Amino acid sequence: MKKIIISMIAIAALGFTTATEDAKTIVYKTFTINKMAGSEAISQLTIKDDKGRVRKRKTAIASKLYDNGMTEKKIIRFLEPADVKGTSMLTFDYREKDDDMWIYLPALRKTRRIVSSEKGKSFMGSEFSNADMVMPTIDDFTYKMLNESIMVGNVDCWNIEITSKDDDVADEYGYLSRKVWIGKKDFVIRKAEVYDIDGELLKKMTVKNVEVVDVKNNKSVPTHMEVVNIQNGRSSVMKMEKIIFNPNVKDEYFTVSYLEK
Amino acid sequence: MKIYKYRWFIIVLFLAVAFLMARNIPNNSVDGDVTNYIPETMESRVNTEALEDLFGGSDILLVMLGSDDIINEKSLTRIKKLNREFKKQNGVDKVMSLFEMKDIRGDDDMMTVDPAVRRIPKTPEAIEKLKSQLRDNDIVYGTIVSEDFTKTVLVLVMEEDADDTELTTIVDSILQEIPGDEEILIGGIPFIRAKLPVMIGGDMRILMPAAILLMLIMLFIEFRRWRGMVLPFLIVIISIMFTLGLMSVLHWKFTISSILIPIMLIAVANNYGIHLVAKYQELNTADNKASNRDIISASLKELWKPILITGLTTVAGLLGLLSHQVIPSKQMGIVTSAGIIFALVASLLLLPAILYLFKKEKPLYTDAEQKRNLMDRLLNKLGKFVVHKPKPIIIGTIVVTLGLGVGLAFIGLDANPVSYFKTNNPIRIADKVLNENFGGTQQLAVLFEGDIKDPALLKRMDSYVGELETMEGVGSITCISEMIKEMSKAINNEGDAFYDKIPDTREAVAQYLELYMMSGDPDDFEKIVDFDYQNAQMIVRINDASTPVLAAIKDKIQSYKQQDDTIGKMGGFALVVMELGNVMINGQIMSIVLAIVIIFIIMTLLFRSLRAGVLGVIPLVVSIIILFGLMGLLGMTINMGSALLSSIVIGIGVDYTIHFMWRYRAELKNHPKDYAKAVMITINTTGRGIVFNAVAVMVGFVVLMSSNFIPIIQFGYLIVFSIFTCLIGALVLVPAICLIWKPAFIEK
Repeated sequence: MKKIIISMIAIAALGFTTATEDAKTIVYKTFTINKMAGSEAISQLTIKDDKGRVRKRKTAIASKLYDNGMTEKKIIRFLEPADVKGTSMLTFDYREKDDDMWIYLPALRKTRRIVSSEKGKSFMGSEFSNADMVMPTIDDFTYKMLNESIMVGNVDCWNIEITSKDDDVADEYGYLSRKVWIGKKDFVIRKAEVYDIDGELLKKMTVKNVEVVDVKNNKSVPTHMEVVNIQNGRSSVMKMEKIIFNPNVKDEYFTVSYLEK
Repeated sequence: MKIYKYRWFIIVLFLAVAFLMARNIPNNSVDGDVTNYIPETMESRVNTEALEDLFGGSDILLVMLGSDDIINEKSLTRIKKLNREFKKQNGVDKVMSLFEMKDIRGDDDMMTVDPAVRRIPKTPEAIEKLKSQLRDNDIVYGTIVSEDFTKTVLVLVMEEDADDTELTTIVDSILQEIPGDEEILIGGIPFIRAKLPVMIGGDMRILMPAAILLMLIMLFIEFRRWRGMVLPFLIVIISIMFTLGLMSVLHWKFTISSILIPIMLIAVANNYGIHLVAKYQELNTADNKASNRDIISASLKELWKPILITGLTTVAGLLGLLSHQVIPSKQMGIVTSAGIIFALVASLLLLPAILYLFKKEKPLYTDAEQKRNLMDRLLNKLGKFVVHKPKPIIIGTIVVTLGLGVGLAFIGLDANPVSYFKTNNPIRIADKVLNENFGGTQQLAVLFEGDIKDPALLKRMDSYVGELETMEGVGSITCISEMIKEMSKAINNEGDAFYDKIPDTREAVAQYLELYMMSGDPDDFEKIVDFDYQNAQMIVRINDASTPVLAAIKDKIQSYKQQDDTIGKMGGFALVVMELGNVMINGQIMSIVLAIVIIFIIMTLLFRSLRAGVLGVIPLVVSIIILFGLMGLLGMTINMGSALLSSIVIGIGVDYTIHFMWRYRAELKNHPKDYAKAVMITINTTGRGIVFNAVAVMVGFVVLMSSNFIPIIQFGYLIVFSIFTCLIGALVLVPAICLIWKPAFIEK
């Protein structure tokens, strides 16, 4: 309920122009405006350690919005490497409560519901974290406009600093603050810097490519992202090999029984 | 005498050398890292470094908080704050604590991944709930929180290049800044490495002046004249300046063994001067009308040879330490030898040169007075006893030696640096508590090479863990097979076929690992498996690092290695300590053999007879057997202190025999075939010097008994005891053998 009210306030705030409200609204829009009714994609994740050794993960992803966009359901299935092929995850990303997540391990023919309180978890062992991917609880943070207009490449961006409200929030998300550069035209993050709990630079993320996937509704998605962990020398690249807009993804994809197929 | 001619040159030269060397003393530093005590090329060091290259630093600093019940809001809040501060520090790679370690649970088809303590409980019900969760959490129960919830530990895994002193200082100040009522104990090898230099410095600052003071008092009692006090004192001071300066020049660092260096110089280096001064006083009676210069020259002429020889035999004993692979022992042998040689030369050149500068001293005695003191009466009685009972003396010696020799079988070995500290020292207490309640303060690591996801390999690893865990001294074991079993418990319900088991297929292993990646941190596995899953490390925490316990664990792993070629190197601090123990024992044996051989050769050459060599060596062998036999019976161990004992005992102890034989030979010339009379005269004249010499050495070493370190304290007691046995050997056993055996070389 709380989240809904906050989002409503945020939306209402769109009309105002005070700098702080503006920054908060922009961030809110960034995490909501580009959600597609449905999509299917093939993604390649490359994880590199400080010695240059590489792990690759190829996954098929399908997602679909439910409840007027308040819930996003997503299924991720491993295609490569061979030893984890078929391993699948189903997530229900609720706007107003903790997410639901199931995982299926084909070698054991087991499905397990996963409960975790930590939002700062690594995404599939990469340097991307789940906190980077999903919308944060908007009121857990304070927002500050650092620059109203700055170019990243040839894209005009807002530069906004997002700071944890208190230590508990920082612990939960695994970072103290983030600086994000958000494209004004499409509300897609082009660049981000993550500062750890002590305020030291931890990661730098850059978006190398953005595609308009849902042309009709003008929804854009970053299709090539790189993140470098400054502190441990590891880096990860996520690249969409193929992504299509498909509002009619079968509903049965997003069920536990489909997970086990 | 040339010395008289060059007296000023000699004085200036010696003082200049001493001061030049002493200028380097401020550069001395102390090394508290036991790893550096064995050569870099030793297997355990090479392996430990190789493993650290693969998996990063392995040292752990443990900060324990204790109270009646640690699971309460206030304590947990403090721990959470401490955790956050510790994590921030440079040099801290990661922190393992109640807030960092995971709670991975599986029940009702649901898997939960949380920090072990997710929220600080505020109500009694919440506290009880948390406790029951912790009890079920294998990752923390008994390793991070004690089973009775009275203690919890924050384990700081250090980066390879972290500075121990800096970090322990920071940890101390963080504990001050975030105060609380909990009892704090800090342990772990980095803490010992940081504290050891401070304590060694403190020991030196107290023991050195104390030994010097005792020496001055003793010299005063003996000589009652300032020359008798100041001159031997001067020799000691300049030889300490020279020796400690030499340590710096050679860039050798101080260690626990170095405490013995100045004390040994104080105890031994004054002897040569004492002999000369005593002779000077003996000749300088009221009835002697000779000039000061003549008395000095006469004293020197009579004594330079025995002084030189006893000095060289002491050096020979010390050089026995060269056979040690233990670096500080070897270094101590070299610098102390150099210091003794410096003192020896200074006693023979500098001391007369200074004496020449002064007028004749007021005589202490007239000729008639000299024989009246208690010591002479005792020596006279001793002489009579020896002359009348040579056979019982020899038989008695054999019986005592064989009896105490039984103890040799019981002598143990202890290279663990924690054992340096007294049982009431906070370091020792912390180590004990941490070992009893948590996984252990030291560790040993085993490398596995191959396809780490191979279930066969993991199952073998798992069976090793099962066996090792039952062994004495093994605390907690961390390795990839344990983590996979942990995952199997999260993904399967209790009672399922796969619950708490390594799965049968490689795919299942890979999927467990992938699942862990999604729920934990990617670097959770950093210490136990490499990025490519080609190398894995089994970390065996050790809660009893005494050498025999470690040896048993190492042997067990070796036996696995013989049947399993995926097992590679073995490393870790615990193994370094074990190897240190082994080289200590080897060094001990080798240095005894070497010292005895050298002494045998010197005696043989000196008296031009093999029998003299044998005679010289007998009291030493008897003393060494009695010493180690007694140590065995008293439950004392070979350690960084006692490993040096035998060489020093041999080097010093042989002097008394030489002094005795030297005079005895002269007296037999004066009284041919009258063995009893020659023995009586020798004991009554030279015997006095021998006793005083031995007492001076014992007094010098006595201060060691008040050291902070157990090996040094034990060394203090044992060396005093051994010097005493050597003294008895020279004054009782050697004459008894001479009386019965009547060796021909003495009469030549």
